[in-house]
Amino acid sequence: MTFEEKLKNKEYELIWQEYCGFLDLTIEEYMTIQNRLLKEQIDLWCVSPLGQKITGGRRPATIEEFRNMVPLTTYDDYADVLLMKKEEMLPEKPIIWIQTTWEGGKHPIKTAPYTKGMLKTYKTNVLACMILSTSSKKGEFDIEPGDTFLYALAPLPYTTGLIPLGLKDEISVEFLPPVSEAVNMTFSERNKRGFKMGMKKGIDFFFGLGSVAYYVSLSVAAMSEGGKSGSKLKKMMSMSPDMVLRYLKAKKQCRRENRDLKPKDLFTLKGFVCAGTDNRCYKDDLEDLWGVRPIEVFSGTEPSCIGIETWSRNGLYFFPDTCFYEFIPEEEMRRNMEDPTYRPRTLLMDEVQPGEVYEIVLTVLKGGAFARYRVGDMYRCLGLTSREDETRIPRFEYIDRVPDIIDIAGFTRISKNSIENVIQLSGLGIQDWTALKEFTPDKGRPYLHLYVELTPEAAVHSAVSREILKEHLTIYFKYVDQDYHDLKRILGMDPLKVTVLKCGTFARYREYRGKQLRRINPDIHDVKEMVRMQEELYMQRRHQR
Amino acid sequence: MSGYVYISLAALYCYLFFMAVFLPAKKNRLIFNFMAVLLTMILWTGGSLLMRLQVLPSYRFWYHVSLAGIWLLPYSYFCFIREFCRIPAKGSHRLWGILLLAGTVINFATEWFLAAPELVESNGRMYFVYHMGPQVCIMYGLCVGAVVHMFRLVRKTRKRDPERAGKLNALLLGIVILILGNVGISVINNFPLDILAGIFNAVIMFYSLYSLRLFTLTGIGSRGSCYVLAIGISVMAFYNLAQTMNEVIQEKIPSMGSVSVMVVVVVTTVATWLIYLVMKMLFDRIFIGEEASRTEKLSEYTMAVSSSLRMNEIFQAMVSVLERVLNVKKIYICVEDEDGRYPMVYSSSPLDDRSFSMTGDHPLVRIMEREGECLLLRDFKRTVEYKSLWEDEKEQIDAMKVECFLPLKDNGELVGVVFLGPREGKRGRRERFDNDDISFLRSIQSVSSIAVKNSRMYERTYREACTDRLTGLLNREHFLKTMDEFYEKYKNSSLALIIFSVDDFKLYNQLYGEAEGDEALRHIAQIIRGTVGESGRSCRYSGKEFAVLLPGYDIFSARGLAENISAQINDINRQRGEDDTYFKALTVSCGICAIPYAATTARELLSNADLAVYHVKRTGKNGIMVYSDQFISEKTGGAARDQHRSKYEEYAPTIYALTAAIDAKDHYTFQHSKSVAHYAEALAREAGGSEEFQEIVKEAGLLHDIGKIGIPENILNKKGKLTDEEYEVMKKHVASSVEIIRHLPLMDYVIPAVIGHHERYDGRGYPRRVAGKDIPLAARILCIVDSFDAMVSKRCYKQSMPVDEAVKELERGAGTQFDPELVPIFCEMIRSGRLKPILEYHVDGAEENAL
Repeated sequence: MTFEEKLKNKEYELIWQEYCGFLDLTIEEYMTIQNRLLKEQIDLWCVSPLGQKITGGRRPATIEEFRNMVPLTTYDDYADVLLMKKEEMLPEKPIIWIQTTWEGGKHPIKTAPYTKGMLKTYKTNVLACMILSTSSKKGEFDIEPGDTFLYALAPLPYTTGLIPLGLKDEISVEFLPPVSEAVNMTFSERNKRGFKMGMKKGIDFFFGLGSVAYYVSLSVAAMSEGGKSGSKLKKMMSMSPDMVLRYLKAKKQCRRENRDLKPKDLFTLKGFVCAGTDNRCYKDDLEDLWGVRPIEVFSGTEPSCIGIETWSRNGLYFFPDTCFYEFIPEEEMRRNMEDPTYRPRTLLMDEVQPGEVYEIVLTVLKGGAFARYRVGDMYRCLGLTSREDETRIPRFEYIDRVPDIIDIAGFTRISKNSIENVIQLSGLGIQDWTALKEFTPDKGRPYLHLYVELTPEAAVHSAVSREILKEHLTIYFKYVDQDYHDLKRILGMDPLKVTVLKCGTFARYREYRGKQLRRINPDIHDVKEMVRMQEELYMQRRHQR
Repeated sequence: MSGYVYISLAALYCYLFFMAVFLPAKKNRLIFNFMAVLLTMILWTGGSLLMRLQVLPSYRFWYHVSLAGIWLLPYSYFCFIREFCRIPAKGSHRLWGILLLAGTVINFATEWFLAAPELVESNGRMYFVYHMGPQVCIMYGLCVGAVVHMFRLVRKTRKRDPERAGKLNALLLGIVILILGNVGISVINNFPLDILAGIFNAVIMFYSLYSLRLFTLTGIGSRGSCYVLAIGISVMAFYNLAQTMNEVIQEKIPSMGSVSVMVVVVVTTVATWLIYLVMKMLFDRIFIGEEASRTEKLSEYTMAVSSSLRMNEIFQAMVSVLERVLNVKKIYICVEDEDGRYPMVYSSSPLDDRSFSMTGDHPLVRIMEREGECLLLRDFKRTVEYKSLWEDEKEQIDAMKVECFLPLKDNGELVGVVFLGPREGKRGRRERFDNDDISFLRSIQSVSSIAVKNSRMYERTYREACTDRLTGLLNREHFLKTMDEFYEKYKNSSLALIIFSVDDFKLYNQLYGEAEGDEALRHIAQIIRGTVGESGRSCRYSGKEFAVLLPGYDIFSARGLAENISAQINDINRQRGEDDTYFKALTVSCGICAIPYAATTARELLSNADLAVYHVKRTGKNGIMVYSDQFISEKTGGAARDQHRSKYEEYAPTIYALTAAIDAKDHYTFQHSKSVAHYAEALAREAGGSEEFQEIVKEAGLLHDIGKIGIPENILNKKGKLTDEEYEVMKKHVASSVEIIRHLPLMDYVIPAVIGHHERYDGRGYPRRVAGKDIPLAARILCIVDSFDAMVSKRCYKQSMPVDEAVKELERGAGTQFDPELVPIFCEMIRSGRLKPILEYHVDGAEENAL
C-alpha cells in the first residue's frame, strides 16, 4: 500500500507508528534492530569480493569480530571498485549509482551504489522527514496528496535527486517546477519558475540546503517585491484569487510595519526541511523569513538519509535501520590525526555520553557497500533521553566536518591538498600558511580564513596586497574546485578572507612554541597567539635596538 | 401552440442532436445500429410533433410515421443490444423485424391494429382522441416480445461477460422508462407521456455516452456539427420567437419601432453565435474532450518518436504519453537484445529494479509473439501458457503490479514488451483498462513498434560503426570525426588531447596470451571511461593506444587527468597479484597536447600528442609528456639504459640468490650461465645491438637455464645419454625458467630470449617450434652461444671439443639450427681472438647429451 493510500484510509496512528515509531524505542530495542540488521549485512558484505578484499579474506561471525577484523575505512578503500562500478564485487546488485564530488581525492567524483533495500528504507526515511517537518507534537502531522514542494536541492545523480523519485512512488505531490523541467534549468531559472508556480498554487513544503534555502528565500522576497507597477499587475493576474488577497494584505501589513515583504507573508509552509552543513547559521533567519523553523535532516551520498530532528527542533535522531552507527570519541580521533597508524576505538549507540563530541563511523545496511566507513562528520551527543520529545534514545547535534576538512555552507569541502594546489597554481610567493573555518561576527556566516606569510622576495618584487592575494587565490579556488565556483555563482558568497602575516611569523611561532601549527583548522587560540606574536616581535626588536 | 408541442420539440431536438453527432462519425456496425435506434426515435417524436402541428399532408400521415417509429423502436433496440453483446444475428432475431415491419405496413394501409386518433374540438382547442381495440395488443405484444428477447440476450451476456453487460444498465433503464411512458399514455389521455419518457431516455443515452463511453467517437467534434446544431436551434427559436419579440419591441420601446426588425436580426445573430459557442464547449467537454486530447497527445507522440532515432528518447516519450493519457504510474519496457532475450531496459522511474528479463521461450513472449495484441494480466492468467510460468516469474510479475502487457511487434517480429501498471482514477482508485484505453494502446503500439525497431537497428549500426568491439570505446574513425567537430566548436576556447600507449604490450601478449592481453585492454578502457566520464570522449586509437579528447580542458587539467588514469592503470596488476597470480605491471606512455597552447589545428593536435608519446617511449616509457615546442614536462625521464640498470639492480640480489641455488645443485649450470652471458653480450654488441639490448641479452644469459633448478639431479648430472622420457623432463627447464622469471615482473623483458633459446632456425626446436626471424633476436643469440659453450666445455661423459671444431660445428648448423647471419659474426669474433672462449671450468652435467 502506498503512503497516499494509507492517508486516504485515514490510518494516521499507524502511519505515525510506521514512519516515526522509532522515536518510541528504548535503547535496548534500538540496539536489537541495529544488531540484527548488522548481522544480515555482515553475511552479505563479508562474502562479497569487496568485503573479502577489505577483510583480507577473513569472515567475521559476530558483531564483535566484525568490529575487530574490519578496519576503519575511507573512500580510498572502495575507490577502485566503486568508481569503476564493478557491480559483481558488491554485496548486492545496485539499482542506482549516486555521485558527489570528491575533493582532495584521486578522482573528481565519488560514486555510491544504492540497493533495492536501501532505496526502500530511503523512501520511508524521506516520508518520516516529511511527517516530522509538519508535526508540532507527537502523533500529529499534516500531509495531503497534491501538496506542493518548492525544491532547492540538486537533481540526480546527486543523492538529493532521489527525493522526488522516492516520493512519486508513494504520494502524488507537486514539485515546483516539475522535476522533468527543473533538470534542464539553471539554478536561478528553477527558483524563479518555482516561485511563480508557488504564487499560483501556494507552497506547502520547502526542501533545501540551509544556505541555498536562505538564498532562495531572499530571492523569493525580492521577486515578490520588485518590478514596475505594470509587471506587478501582470503578476497579480497570474495569481490565484486567494493569493492576490494575501499579496495585497501582506503589502499593506509590510507598509504598516515599514519592512520588506517576506515569504511568510505570502506562504504558509506546512513543512520546512533543510539539509547540509552550517545550517545553524541560517536557521534563525530562515525562521524569520518563513515563519516556520526548519527541521534539520542529515543525508549524505554514502550513507543516504540517516537522521532527522523532531517537532522540538532540538537534536536529531538516527534511523535505526539505515546504517549501523559507531562513534569515535574526539580525543581518539585527534590522536589518530596526529598518528595515522593509531587505531581509534569506537563506541556504539548505547555507549555514547551526553556532551561528548564524536566522529561518526557508518556501516551501510541492506546490502550497502560501505563498512565501518568514516564519512567525515562530527556530532555532539545532546542527551540520552528527552522529556520534550518523549524519547529514550540518544539525540545528537551536527557539529561540522572532521577538522582536516573545511566545509563552507554545505557546498564545498576544502582540504590541505586543495589549498596547496591553489597556492602552487597561483604562483604567489607564499612561504607558509594556515587555514581556518571562521564565522562572521554579525550573522555567523561561515568563511575560510587563510593566514599567509609571503616569501621576502615576493614581498619585495611582486604586487601582493591583500586584495591581489585574495583575488588571485579566489580565481584558482574556482579553477580547482567546481563547488567553490558554484558557491560564488549560486549563492553569490565570497567565502575567502586573507590575512597577511609578517615575514618570519610562522618560523618564530615554531621557535617559541616548539610546535608546528596545523595547516587546516588549528586551534583558534594558537592562531590568535601567533598573530599577537607579530606585535611582540616588533616590541622585542625595538628593545633590541 | 400547446405546451405539449414543446415536449415533442425538446425530444425531437435531443434525437436530432445525437443524429448530427453521429453522422460524421467513423461508423461501425454498432454505430449503425445505434443510429437506427435514433432514427426510429426521430420518426416517432417527429411524427408526433408534426401530427400535433397538423402539418401537411395530413395529421394522419404523421400519425403513421410516429407509430412506425414506436413499433420499430423495439427491434432497432434489439439489434443494437445484440450487436453490443457481440451475439451473431440469427433468423429468429430477424423475425421480430419482419413481423413488426409487416404490422406497421398493414396498419398504415388498413389502420386495423390501431386507428388514427380523432381530432376533436373542445373550448376552441383541438384534441386527439384515441380509440384502441384489442387487436392493438398484437403489435404491442410483438414489441414486448422483442424487448423480452433483448433482455434475455442481456442476461446471457451478463453471465458470459458481466463487465460488458454492466455497461448496458443505464440504457436498459432508459428502455424501461420508455415502456412505462408508452403504457402511461393510455392512462393520461392526450398528455404525451411517451414523448416525455423519450426525453428521459435521451438524457439517459446522453449520460451513457458521457460516463460509460460506449462508443469510440472519432471525428464527430467537427465545427460543422456545431454549426448545424446552432443554426437548427436558432432557426427554431427565430421561427417561434421572432414575431413575439418584434411585437414586444414595438409595444414597449416605441422609439425603436422603425428598426425593430433590425434589432430582432441582431439579437438572433448574437444568440446563434452564443448557441454555437455553448455547443462547441459541450462537444469539447463531453464528447470529444478526452478523445481530442488523446488524439492530440498521440499526434505529439508520433511527431516526437518519428523525429528521434534514440531508443531512450522514444521510451521517454512513450512513458510520458502513457502516464499522461492513461494515468498509469508504473511502466516497464523490455526490448529484445542480440541474444534473443528480453531484458528490462527502461522504466518510469530510475529507482525501479530493472533486473527482470525474459528468455525467448518465456510464455509471455510466446503469447505476445503469437497474438500481437494488448493482453490484460487477468486474461493472461487464464491462458494455457500461464501454466508454464515459474513461481519465481509469477512473483516477479506480481511484484511489478503489472495489469497490461503491450507487445511491440513489427512484421511478425516481437521487438519488445511494455508492462503497464494499474490505471489510477481521479480519486486515486485503481481503474481497469477499458476499450478506449486498449484502442489508444493499439495506436501507441503501432507507432512505437516501428520506432523501436528502427532505433534499435540504428543504434546497433551506429554502435558498430562508431565503437571498438573489444573495449566499447569510440573507434579511430569516429574519434577523428569527433575531433574535427570538437575543434570547430572549441577552437576559440580550449581542447586537449591525451594519447595513452600501453608499454610492452606485445610482450604482455606473449607472456599471458592474447586473451589476457584483451582483458588488460578492456580494463584500461574501463578505467579511462570511468575517469573521463562526461568530461570528454575516449577512443581506442590503435591496437594498444587510447586517446581522450577533452573540450574546455587546459594542459594542466589534462595532465592531472592523465596522471590519475596512469596511476590507476599501474594499479591493475598490483591488485590482481593479491590472489597469488603475478602479472607484469601495466604501464602507459602518455602524450598530451592542447589547443591553443601547443597546437592550432586538429591535425597538429593529433600529431603533437603522438610525438609526445613517441618521446616518452624513447626515453624509458611509463611517463607523461606534454607537447610543447620543447618537451617541457616529464614524469619519468632518463635513458632506457638507466631504467634497466635500476631494474637490474633492484633484482640483482634475487638473481644472485637463484644462480647461487643453481650453483649449489649444479655447478656446471652456474658457470655455464655466466659464460653464456659473457658471449651473448659480446655477440649482441658485435651485431649492432644497443647498450640496453646488450644488457638484456646478458641478463637473459644469466637466467636462461634458471629452470634447471627444478630438474631432478639424477637427470641433470647423468653420465650418459638421456632416455626419451628424461629428455622430455629436461626440455621442461625452458618453461620452468619462464615460470620463475614471471614472478619478477620487472625482469620480464628477458623472457622472449629465454623462452626461445632452444628454438631452431628451421623450426624444429622447442618449446614453441617457431622458425627464422620469428625467434626473438636475443633468443637466436643465446642459442648460438649456449651451444658453443656446451661444445667447448668438458663434461663427465665427453671431452671438451676444440674451439675450432666447435666453430665449424656452428657454421655447419647455420641456417638449420642457428641464425645464418649471426653465426659468421660470432665465428669471426672467436677466430680473430676478439672473443676469448672460457674453458677453465669443470663440467659434469648432462644437458648437451641431449643436444
